[in-house]
Amino acid sequence: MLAVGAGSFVFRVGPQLLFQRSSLSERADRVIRQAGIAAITALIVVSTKSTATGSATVPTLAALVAAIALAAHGASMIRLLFVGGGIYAASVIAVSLI
Amino acid sequence: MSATTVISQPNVAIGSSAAVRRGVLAMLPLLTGYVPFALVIGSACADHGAPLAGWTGSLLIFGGSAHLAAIRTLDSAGVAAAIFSGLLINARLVVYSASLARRWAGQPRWFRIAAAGLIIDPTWAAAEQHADRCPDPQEQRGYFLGAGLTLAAGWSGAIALGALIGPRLNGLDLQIVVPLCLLALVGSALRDAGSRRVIVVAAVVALLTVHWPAGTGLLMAIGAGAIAGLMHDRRRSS
Repeated sequence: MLAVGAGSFVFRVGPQLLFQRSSLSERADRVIRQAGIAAITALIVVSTKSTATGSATVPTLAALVAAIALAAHGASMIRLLFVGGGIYAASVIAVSLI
Repeated sequence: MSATTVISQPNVAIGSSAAVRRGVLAMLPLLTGYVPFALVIGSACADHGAPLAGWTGSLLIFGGSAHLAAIRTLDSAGVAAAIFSGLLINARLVVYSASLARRWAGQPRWFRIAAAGLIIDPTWAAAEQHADRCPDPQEQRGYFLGAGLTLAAGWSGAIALGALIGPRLNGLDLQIVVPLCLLALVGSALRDAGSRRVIVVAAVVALLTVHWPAGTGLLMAIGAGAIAGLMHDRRRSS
């Protein structure tokens, strides 16, 4: 925990100190922000892959498809959790009955 | 003391109490969404047999995916692999911090260092969205501290709760909340053509590299997404 924590703090504070005196171009700033979006997207894929196993595959994908549609329309996290979670639970029941 | 000023020197002031309150209120819904994820991590800490040691990562690592990966890899592959996987997954923090570094160019050094410890996916997303609407440095400072400290307190508390009631959570399937929470952070980006391209490329690369060793696939996806964004940007400006 200490080692990962210390390294994580270096990742966090490093750019703050590095870019304190120099500034990034507009384009570099946009690319970095998009890299942040890519990072979260990759985490979504990894976490979905670990959830979508066995009988949970269809419920996970169903919940995610619905959540993507809602998220694209600006739904809040609470709404995503309720709707996505509800679809997931309903799909789990449906799959178990088949 | 008025509600809108704390100390007269702007670079020392944390920010107005109203700004702090706005940050707290902005983070509370996100925190609620992250509680199930935190319970999963707390439960993993309890399963590992050293819940207190596991809980310390809640504030030290302050990153759910890296924290969970470190705990699980520790059991399967040892200390070195656990450290490596946790650090690789959290390497994305460099990107978030670099993104905020430009926003915080006018901020005092104490804030940049202190606030850096609170940089993670939801605080980054909240800070970026807020900074687009509000360029005032003092407002941004108060907002970020309010949001970040709210998340830190709630996150570590929920992990502690998960560690305490861990065995009782085993019957619940809470893993689905993780992708749902993360999706809320990037959902609005789906409306922008350039960001959509980044998301699709990153998702495909992440899927193709999902079996790569601890976190390396994640870094590949970040790089591929960034390149896709750069290419879109160049095509648009040419």
